[in-house]
Amino acid sequence: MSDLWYSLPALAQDIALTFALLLPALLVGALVLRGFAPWPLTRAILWRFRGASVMFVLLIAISVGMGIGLLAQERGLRRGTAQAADKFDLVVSAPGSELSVMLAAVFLQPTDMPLLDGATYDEIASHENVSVAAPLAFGDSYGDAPVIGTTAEFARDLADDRIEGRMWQASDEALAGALVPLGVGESFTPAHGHGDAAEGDAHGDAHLRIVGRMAPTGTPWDRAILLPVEAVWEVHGLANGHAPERAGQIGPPFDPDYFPGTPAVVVRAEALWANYALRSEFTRDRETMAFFPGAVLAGLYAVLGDIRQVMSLMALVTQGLVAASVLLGLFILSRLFRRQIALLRALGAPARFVFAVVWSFGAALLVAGAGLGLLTGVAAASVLSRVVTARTDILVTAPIGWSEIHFLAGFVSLTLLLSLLPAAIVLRQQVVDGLRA
Amino acid sequence: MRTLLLAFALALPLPALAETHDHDAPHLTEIAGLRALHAWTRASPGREALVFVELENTGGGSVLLTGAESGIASDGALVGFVLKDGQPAWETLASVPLAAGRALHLEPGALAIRLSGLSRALTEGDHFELHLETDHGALALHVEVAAADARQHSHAGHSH
Repeated sequence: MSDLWYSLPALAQDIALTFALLLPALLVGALVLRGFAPWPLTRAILWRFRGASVMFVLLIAISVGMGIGLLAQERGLRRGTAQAADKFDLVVSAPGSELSVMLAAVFLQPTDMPLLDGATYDEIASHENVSVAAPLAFGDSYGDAPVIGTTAEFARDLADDRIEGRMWQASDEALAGALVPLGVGESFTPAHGHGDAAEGDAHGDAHLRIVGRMAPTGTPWDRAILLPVEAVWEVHGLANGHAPERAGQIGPPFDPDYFPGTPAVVVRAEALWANYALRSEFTRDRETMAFFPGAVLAGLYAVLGDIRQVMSLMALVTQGLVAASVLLGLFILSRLFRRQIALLRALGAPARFVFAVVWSFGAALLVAGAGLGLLTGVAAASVLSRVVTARTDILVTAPIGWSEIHFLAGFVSLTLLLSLLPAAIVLRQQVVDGLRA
Repeated sequence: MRTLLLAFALALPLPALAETHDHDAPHLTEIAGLRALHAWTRASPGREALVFVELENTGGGSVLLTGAESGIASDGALVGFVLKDGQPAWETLASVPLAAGRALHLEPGALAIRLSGLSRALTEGDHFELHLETDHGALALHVEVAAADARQHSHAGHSH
């Protein structure tokens, strides 16, 4: 049986699971309503108590919507951060914390890092399995924009070769990220450092010009200014990576003797297996550290997975409380129309019909609340995504997924089963007492 | 009767000996210069397991790793870790070459041997045999089952 389940495509599994979760409610509904048409009476009760009914529906919708929105947001954030690391197959740096280096290289969070020397970079770049070895140079900024030195090849790859204007051709030219407030043709002088501690006049004689703008990448690199790594070295008064007779060269190969150092090298291999081989090769005690940002993120997600479980549990508990409140409310509402129910029974309406009316009243509130809750969840996820994207520069999209649909199906099924209780309680009340109420 | 008791007494330590042998199963195995050290996997009740091992090619030529086979699994393959849409996944690799003088670490978040269709659950402290298939023949690995949340072999860092 499990073999058959695992042989199904993921979509078929999701649909089957949704159906399985809804099945108890469908069966109960079919049994309760079998042979009766209680809807005209149910509609009349809903209209008669429309104020209370609307309140119940809104209460359920908000509770369900917040739960769905938060769960979808967590998944969206995971996807967004993974997408931001997509272009960074393998990162080689000096030994230290993989997380710190990933935050610096992929998410452009400023940090002090030791440098790899020219010989090490040359060994990486000249390895037979390496197709791209892009040195990164951090440390400068312009306003809120980090200024990053790298190679033209990596910049093109980062922007998927979608550059408005042109690529740099000299060490005083730069590319602006999609969100950088500098237009093509404008000039700027980078400050040394970031934020309040940045020294604005440290590189006063450096005047760099924007010659191109990268298409949006949905990553923190959209807010960065990219320039030839040679330019970063030059404004710091260092050798520019090339021997004096080739001082005008931009981009690799670099001369190890004139290579000032780089905190991180983004490495790519043509074959998938070669990335793993390179990782093994450049993981050396006290020399170099090689890691996959994707694997570091996966480790983080594993830790966050526990938080997701807590969030899911909190959402379930909240909805359980709402369901209990709704059931209590249904019972109180049924007291309001106790007289009408007693009259129905006195007129000879079968007990099962009365049961079906009360159950379908509760079911209508719950299903409407859950449906509206789904829409509320979509809206909540969309608003949260915009807030997170604006604050982190990581493009977060959080469409509703199957896990939220399963969550909703489970909620609907469970509450429809629980609504049998108030219907049963109404049926146990004495007809005579009800008529006198 | 005395002979029978003596035979019984002599037979008693045998299970203990067998267990000791299992614990002392070699951490290091070798074929044609390809050395494998510290093969391990995580305890799992499921039907799949990832096996990790440190490999080093001390021979004179390149070795091609092509797959794996074990008596407790219906299939074995070399897989590489990837992150797809924020979800960890393992992609099958047809073969992985290991050049002479180079090392290759099969470890969590990188390369691994995936065993599918396990015939039994793997419990911590358990051991089993696995054959890593190469173009130079099959290299026997003695795989140790570590804790379900283990990140590395318990002897990681020992060079043996």
